[in-house]
Amino acid sequence: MSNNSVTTIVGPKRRRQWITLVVLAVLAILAITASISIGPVSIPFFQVWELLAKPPVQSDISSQIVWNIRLPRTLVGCLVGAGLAISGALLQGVMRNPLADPHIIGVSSGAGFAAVTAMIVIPNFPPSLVPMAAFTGAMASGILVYALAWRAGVSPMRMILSGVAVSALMNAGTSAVLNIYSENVQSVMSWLAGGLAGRGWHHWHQLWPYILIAGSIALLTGRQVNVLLLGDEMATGLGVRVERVRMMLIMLACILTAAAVSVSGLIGFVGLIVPHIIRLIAGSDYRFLLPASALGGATLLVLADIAARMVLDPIELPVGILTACLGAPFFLYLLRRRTTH
Amino acid sequence: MILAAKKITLSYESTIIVPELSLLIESGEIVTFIGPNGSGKSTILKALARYLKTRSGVVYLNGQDIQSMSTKRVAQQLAILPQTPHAPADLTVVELVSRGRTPHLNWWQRSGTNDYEVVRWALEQTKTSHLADRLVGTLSGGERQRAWIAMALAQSPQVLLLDEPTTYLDICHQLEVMELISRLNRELGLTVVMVLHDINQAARYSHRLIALKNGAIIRQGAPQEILTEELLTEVFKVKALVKTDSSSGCPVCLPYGIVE
Repeated sequence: MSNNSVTTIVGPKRRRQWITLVVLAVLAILAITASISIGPVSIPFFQVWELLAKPPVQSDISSQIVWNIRLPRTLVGCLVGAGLAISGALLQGVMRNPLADPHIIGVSSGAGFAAVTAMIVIPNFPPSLVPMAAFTGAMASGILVYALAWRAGVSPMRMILSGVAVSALMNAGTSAVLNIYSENVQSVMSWLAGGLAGRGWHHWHQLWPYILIAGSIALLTGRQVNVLLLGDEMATGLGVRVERVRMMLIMLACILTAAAVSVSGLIGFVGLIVPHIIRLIAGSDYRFLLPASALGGATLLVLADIAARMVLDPIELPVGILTACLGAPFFLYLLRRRTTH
Repeated sequence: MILAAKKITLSYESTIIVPELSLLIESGEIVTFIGPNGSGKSTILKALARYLKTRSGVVYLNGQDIQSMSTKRVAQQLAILPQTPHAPADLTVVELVSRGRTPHLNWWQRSGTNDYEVVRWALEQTKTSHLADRLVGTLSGGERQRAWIAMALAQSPQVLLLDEPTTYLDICHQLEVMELISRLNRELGLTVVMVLHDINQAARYSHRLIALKNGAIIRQGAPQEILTEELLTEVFKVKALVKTDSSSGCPVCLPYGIVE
């Protein structure tokens, strides 16, 4: 072997990963542009960036639409998609289980239960505080699951099982509240289905600190997750403090999910499928998988939101339906192509 | 001595598996635990690797209490290969071996030239260079075991702990792995502590055997000294002939019945 043969062997895979990242970044920018361009008032593709290049102009209706309605909505969509996808990727790695996602550890259902209870049961609950209630419910539920799974350490399997149990309980609570207070469920139903309708700058301000901080930390944990994938015993042998790292990663996943669903409502599928799509395209090295999932999640959610606005215009569909409709066929296509090789 | 256990008591939940066991491992030795299922072999190995915390007693690595050392410091001196490690489906051999550098890198560091050098060296030592870009999942059992050993070598350890490294391998691959371990010990001075089920292989490749039963050491010493018909009866409850292989001078046993 020549001197640098190891680096050349790693090379092709590395190249594929970088290309994937660049392509995803370009796709994300295109999706963002499209999302700002498309709507009842159509704004030409290239004019979008012209309008964004200068501060909002009071007299220009296009500028107002772009700056005050479509840009914040799109950016919130990016953060929600990225947050859910990173969270899903982390959980799949930590649990060493391909079916793990933000819903399975009970975080989303905790958010749902808390939000529904706040909106319906508490009279005159200010709508602006719903995200706060959802976030609190999500974190409480995540911590509860972790505590229930604890027995001189948390095993991934126990964590998943207690997550499923707590989820079931929370969902039962949500159903109970919806049935008891069945007269004013309309607004709640649309929250539960998830969506970006009417999301604006104040949602962005609530969201970005969590996603940006927790997300950035998460992106630095790639090597740790890579080692955890070799099993607890091996990871310990390689000098990783398994229990502590696992707790940190689960906390990050909880924060990301809680922040995302508190603003957007329950959007399924992104956290589960996006990491798998990325894996099928360019492998499961977490140093790459985490940033790629973030870009992929943001892109998928923004595209789904465009479709949600367009398909039955002027009625908006819940974006969760569209993430599944767009993501699932693509995922199945990749899966089939992979297995026929 | 490089590794020592002083009166360690090991338990899973409240069941005590190993009561107050002490042992010493000298630098450069190959030491093998033998004993029936449930005798505590793997449990002791896990404790020596600090994966299992002792209920009481202390494990010393180079004279230091292993639980008081940072797990990373331990990983720079001691590597363990569990019985059934996992590998993601798309992991290549060279990526796997590179994971062995983990304890030598801080979280913000990327692998440097020196790390690639060590990885290349580990691949060469285990004769897996030609497999570097293969997926771990597509290797034969023997190749895979060599790749995992290469990963452990990339840790640059002084001590290598192996939990049944030859289980699930055919006889040729078993010998291949044992020869590799023996060569690494001879050429690099690597201290090896392992668990083996095959007593003849243990006798052939170890400097010292430690025979265990119910979590206690029944006898220990050079294979020629301790591997007797009486020991096999006492530890394994089998009747066996023990002969000396004239070519290697090692004892070989041939079990022929069960003690009622």
